[in-house]
Amino acid sequence: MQKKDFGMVKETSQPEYKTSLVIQTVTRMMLPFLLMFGLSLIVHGHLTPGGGFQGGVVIGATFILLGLSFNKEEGRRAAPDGAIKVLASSGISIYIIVGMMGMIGGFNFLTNQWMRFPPVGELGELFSGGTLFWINIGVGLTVSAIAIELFYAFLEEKRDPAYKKNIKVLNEKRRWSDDGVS
Amino acid sequence: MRRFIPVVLFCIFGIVMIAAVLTLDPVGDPRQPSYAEFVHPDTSFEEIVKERETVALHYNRNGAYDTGALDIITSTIFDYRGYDTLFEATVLFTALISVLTIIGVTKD
Repeated sequence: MQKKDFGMVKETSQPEYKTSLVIQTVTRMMLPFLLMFGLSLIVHGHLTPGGGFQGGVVIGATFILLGLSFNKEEGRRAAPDGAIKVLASSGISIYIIVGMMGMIGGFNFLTNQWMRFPPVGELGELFSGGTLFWINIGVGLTVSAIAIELFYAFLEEKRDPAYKKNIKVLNEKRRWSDDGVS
Repeated sequence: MRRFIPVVLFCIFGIVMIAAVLTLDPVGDPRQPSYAEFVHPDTSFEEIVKERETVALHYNRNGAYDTGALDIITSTIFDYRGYDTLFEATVLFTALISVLTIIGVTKD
């Protein structure tokens, strides 16, 4: 008689798994270019389509790719927990502080060209459009940190210890009903 | 008795907000300030529609000169409406905080 699986509750674990060598090599070669592409999207926000949100998502997706193609520990080593939380907060802080700089000289909050906020330059160069440069960088930091942290938070979620006990109890109940004794 | 205080406060807050919303112009009216900010308030409806002197036209024409950004979208969301983008980023940050509160990140 075959042994049937009566839907036993399995405790999911992540044993050490190895992705193929092709994936690892190609990812390792592609990562610097992906990061540079995301940085280019962020910094050239006022010249080309892109900006803070778009470049931040690209950089976050790069770190998620690193975590997916290698181990979770490798990905976590590249993006440690405390540093990512600091980055997420500092992005919003940069936005607010850049807005406050206008109020020092007597202007309104978030003034850009009325006070010639640095960097000042010709139209079309990288260093034109004062506050836009720093705001894009701040928003890019925040969005990338959000993407990375959400991914690893769902990956490292620990179950309630009582759940493990319940798994054992449930499995024993099902085994007894299979024998037909109880 | 103590449990009704939040209900009463929320009712008062709701009534105040609804009264504030009712004082705005009706939806789609081209005389509202988000559409025709640079127009004299006494211009009539037909003149606004005919000349189409709206906020969008002003952003199109003067965006590069006012903000110094070649990209109109960036100049709109980060310079003209930068206050809204600040709170959009704050909402994203709040989502991150709320997820991290419920699903605690633990060190293995």
